[in-house]
Amino acid sequence: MTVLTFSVLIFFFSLLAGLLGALTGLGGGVVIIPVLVLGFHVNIHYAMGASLISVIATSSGTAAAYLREGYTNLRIGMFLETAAVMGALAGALLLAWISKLVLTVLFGIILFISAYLTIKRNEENEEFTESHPWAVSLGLDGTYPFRNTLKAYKVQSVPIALLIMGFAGMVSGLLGIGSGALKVLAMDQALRLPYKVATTTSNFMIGITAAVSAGIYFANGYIQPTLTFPVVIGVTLGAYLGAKLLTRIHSQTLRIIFSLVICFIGIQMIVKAFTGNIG
Amino acid sequence: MIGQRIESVISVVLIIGTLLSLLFVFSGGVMYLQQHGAETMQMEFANYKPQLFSLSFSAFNMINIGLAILVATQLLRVIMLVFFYLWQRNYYFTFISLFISIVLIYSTLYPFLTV
Repeated sequence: MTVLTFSVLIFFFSLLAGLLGALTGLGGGVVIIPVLVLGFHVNIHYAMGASLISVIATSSGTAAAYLREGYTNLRIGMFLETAAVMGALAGALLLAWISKLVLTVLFGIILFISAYLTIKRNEENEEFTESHPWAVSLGLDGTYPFRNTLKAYKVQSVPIALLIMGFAGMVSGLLGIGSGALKVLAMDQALRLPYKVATTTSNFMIGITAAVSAGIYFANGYIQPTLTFPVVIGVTLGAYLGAKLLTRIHSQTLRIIFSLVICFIGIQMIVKAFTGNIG
Repeated sequence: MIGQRIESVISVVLIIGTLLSLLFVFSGGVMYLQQHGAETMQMEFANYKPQLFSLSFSAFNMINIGLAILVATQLLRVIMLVFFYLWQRNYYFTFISLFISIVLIYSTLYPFLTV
């Protein structure tokens, strides 16, 4: 196919990725990498580079909106990010030593985990009256807009969250994805934050984590301009549209459909890894 | 409350950075398509070695500059927080933001150290 055809096709898939990403909280990576690798037979390293850039773009766009609305907890985000950036640095540096087979299988597994986390029911958190001691000394508690007032919340289990965050960062650096699902997991299940605070703070964080990996990916030649430019434009546009649509779509149905698709893709990736032919 | 204002400021920085980045990426992309649109797509990207920015206005350069702006925007928002927390005399978080800035700066400089 011609360069033009390729670029336009990638643009449309990226648009879809951005749209789904904004609606489900998962980054563009879970759509973009499989599309490029399975659909276009692009070498997985370059797909990861493109995905990483798309994560930064969507994080910037969505964070800009959510910061304004007052959901994001900057202190929690920055505090946890210390663990995530260390993980990301380690992951990105390790990348050169890992075989493509292992990467692809790992990616497939992460897809399954993301799918599971996406449809997992979010029980309403019980009201806590106290925060974890670390959270108290750092002042991590906050408030978020609820109905017409600001509702306060407390913060639990900080050390576990840090551990999960470090792992999420490593996965992000190793696979070129945002690890949004893992980050939300850490904040929702470990810190017991209100769900919207968890997702918006995660959105804020993934861009920083991805930016840490970007320099290393670029040095290794994984960020190809010809591949990246339609991805960035498509994903940013898609995420913007997705954010606009958010209020009108019933997210639960969407998340279920999305999770099933991701599981299917996860299987495909693993099968492909073992039948050879990874780009 | 300045607490609420810092979020608005960062929000604006993110929007401007992203749009500026898109401008470069889009311009570079259009140039690239004009020059190479009709050629057959090569899936092997191995011919492209990372080059640091030269001063030409080539399509690749424009795209790379756009990508660099995208990454720089992330660094900028963290550095802004360093100063914000310093101003608030919140030393824990000044240190945290500083740490993240340093890691980001290291990773941004990494291509210049190794390419």
